[in-house]
Amino acid sequence: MPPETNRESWNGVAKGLHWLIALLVLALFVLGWTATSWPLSPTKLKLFFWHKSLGITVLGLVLLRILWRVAHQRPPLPPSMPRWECYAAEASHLLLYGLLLAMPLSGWVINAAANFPLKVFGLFTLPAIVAPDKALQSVAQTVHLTLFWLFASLLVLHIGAALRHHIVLRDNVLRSMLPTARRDKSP
Amino acid sequence: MRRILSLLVLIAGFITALSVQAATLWKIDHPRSRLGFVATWQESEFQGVFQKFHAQILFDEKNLEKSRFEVEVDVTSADTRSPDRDEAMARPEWFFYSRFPAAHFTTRSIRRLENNRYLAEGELLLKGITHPLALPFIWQQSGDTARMKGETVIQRTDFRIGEGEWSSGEMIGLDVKLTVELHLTR
Ligand code: HEM
Ligand code: HEM
Repeated sequence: MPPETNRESWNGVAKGLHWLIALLVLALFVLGWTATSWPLSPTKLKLFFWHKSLGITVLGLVLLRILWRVAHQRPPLPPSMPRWECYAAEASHLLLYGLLLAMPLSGWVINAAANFPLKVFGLFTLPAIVAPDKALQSVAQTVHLTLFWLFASLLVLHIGAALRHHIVLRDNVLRSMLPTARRDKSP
Repeated sequence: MRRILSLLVLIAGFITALSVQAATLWKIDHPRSRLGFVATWQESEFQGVFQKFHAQILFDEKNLEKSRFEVEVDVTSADTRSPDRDEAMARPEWFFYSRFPAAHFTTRSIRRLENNRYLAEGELLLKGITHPLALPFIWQQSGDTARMKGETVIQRTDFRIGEGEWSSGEMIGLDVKLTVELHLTR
């Protein structure tokens, strides 16, 4: 059993949340861009309705995920990994969590500053977190957009790193997050 | 002769006084008064106000026959505290500000429902379209001041507010509540 390929998998909750959030974030990128470029029409409002509802869902799921994360031990990284890589992984994950919070929060600020309602999935209304304010709205829009670019770049690194572990280093870092792997030692 | 003349003048004055009292003209205290609306957007309510409107309010509880409201609203003064939304309202498919900057409401009759509750019935002219409008309201008067408060619901598509795709009512509801609260003095 070569040690670097023997690593515990992420637990089912962590995996479930990771992939659910990843899927929603992808949908949010698409919805965000489509909604923004769509001509003013009921369809545009509907795209934003879904964008905002799913965005708030992500906010809720990320809070859950962070709670879960602080209460549990993460599976250790392969001991063969250089120390700086471990730090880089930690730092980038921390930044990802930060972005997962900052994206929906800045969106919420845009929405409140524009004095638009926020009735998530048409089910419950969230309060406005700021008062209507045109100037603040454009600042929040710039923040939301800038964070998106940061997020997208970081994801390229994140996915690139995952693929490098799998294809180049041939360890089980990627597999430890895949739904198929059990908690037992793999492969 | 002189006596008859002065008597006539007296009678004329009396009649004028009576007729003035028969339909008191009320002055609106604009800073405290509000003409607003409530509509729905993405399944929740939002509010707006018309910042500019004039109205001639002739009202006397004892002479409803002669009571009459004539309201002119500067539609372009609509404010929903959302520059993006307010901008969209100016468009042809919505209020078409450039062609229809004003709306008018004129009553045909005002009758009492019960106690201080009344019903004003008349016509609303909005975006070039006239439709009947019934406005139930409460009239509270004490001495020379009064407060008039009412609300009613209209279908925005009756007035072609929100044409084309918007007429489905999806994302922006068809029912729009009009609210009025006037503080008046005579
Ligand atoms: C993880 C959550 C979210 C992601 C990844 C995300 C992503 C995006 C993207 C890619 C865009 C298009 C680019 C842009 O114009 O900024 C966008 C636009 C927008 N998003 Fe989000 N968003 C999220 C959450 C939210 C939430 C929760 C809200 C509101 C409650 C929101 C409101 C908006 C608005 C109003 C725009 C249009 C901005 C504009 O007109 O410039 N977003 N979002
Ligand atoms: C929007 C998309 C994604 C987001 C927001 C995201 C976010 C995250 C975060 C925050 C972590 C850290 C977990 C923790 O330490 O608690 C993580 C771990 C991980 N992610 Fe993603 N991820 C995304 C997509 C992907 C994709 C597409 C892959 C695979 C190609 C992937 C592979 C992994 C792997 C293998 C780990 C575990 C790393 C480790 O064990 O240290 N992620 N992800």
